[in-house]
Amino acid sequence: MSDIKLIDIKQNILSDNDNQADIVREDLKKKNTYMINLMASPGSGKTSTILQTVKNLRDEIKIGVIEGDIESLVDSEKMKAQDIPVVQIRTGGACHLDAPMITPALDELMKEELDLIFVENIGNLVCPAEFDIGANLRVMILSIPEGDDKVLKYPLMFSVSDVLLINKVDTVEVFDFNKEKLYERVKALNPDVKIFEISCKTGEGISEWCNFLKERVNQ
Amino acid sequence: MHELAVTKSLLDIVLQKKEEMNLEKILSIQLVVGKMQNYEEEWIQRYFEYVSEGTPAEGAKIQIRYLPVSFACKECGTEFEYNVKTDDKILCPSCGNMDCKLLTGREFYIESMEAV
Ligand SMILES: Nc1nc2c(ncn2[C@@H]2O[C@H](COP(=O)(O)OP(=O)(O)O)[C@@H](O)[C@H]2O)c(=O)[nH]1
Ligand SMILES: [Mg+2]
Ligand SMILES: [Zn+2]
Repeated sequence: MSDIKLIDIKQNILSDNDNQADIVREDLKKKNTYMINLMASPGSGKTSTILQTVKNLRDEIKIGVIEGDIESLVDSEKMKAQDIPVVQIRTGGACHLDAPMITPALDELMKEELDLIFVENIGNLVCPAEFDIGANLRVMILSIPEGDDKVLKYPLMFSVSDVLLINKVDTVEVFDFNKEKLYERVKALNPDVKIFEISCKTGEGISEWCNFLKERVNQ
Repeated sequence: MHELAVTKSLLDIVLQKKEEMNLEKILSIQLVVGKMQNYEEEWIQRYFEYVSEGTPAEGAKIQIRYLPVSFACKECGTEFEYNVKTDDKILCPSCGNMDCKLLTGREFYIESMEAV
């Protein structure tokens, strides 16, 4: 019997995905396109936020969408109805998008020149947080009806996001949501996060968010 | 959940290492997992048994070393652990400063393996 050897590895388990994500980012840079990974629970307002943002910025910025959330074509149809270039990813029941799924979708979408791409990730606050898809900005949405304690349940998502959009602020009275508490929890875990309060229903806060985004895209 | 995909990529990495080093069989694998991640030793073991069947990694034991969520104070440098499931404030136990930098908690990597 030969001796047991202890072999040092020190390698990220998701390193294949991370490498592919870096390739995606390089491609985007060459084409001068900015990409957003939009993550949130189902129903928190990912599709609504994309539609509102496009409405606000479409005269200045050319925007496209990669739809990854569930297999139904409902969200894609909403984009098409607004003449927004969209590619649907067939996720086959996956719980998150990863960089190898993004690559072919991006190739197809980038047949036209685009300044900004939204990727609507699969509705889930756990798995998408772990996978780099090659985006330049990670944006998460927390909507008021979900409650102010979500940071405690899904710390990784709040920790990796560059931007937090608090959506459905029009409903804050109904749901007894403690905004101060949420800010405190999020800022503790992620001091650099940018937070915007928005309502896709009333349009509140959308222009602040869009101004921030415009600056990032034009950088 | 994506346990299966994750365990497959874990298997790929250790098998590749085994090839590179001309080894015969993998006996155990040591992982480092931050407390913010949602990975349990039990299910990684179970999925690993499934994906490694018939490979030189079959029967390997998965051992996880969990790293706590920890912060360093940006003022005085004190390092401290934090339980993310509580509602406690993140503040430096030495000087009370609240401006702290995340040190550990997001890790998910293979530290080492034992093989013959
Ligand atoms: N009251 C209110 N409802 C909203 C708001 N944003 C989205 N909704 C509603 O929430 C539901 C889910 O929105 P959707 O954008 O499809 O969420 P997604 O599953 O994250 O893409 C829809 O019925 C929207 O009309 C908001 O700011 N306020
Ligand atoms: Mg949607
Ligand atoms: Zn201190």
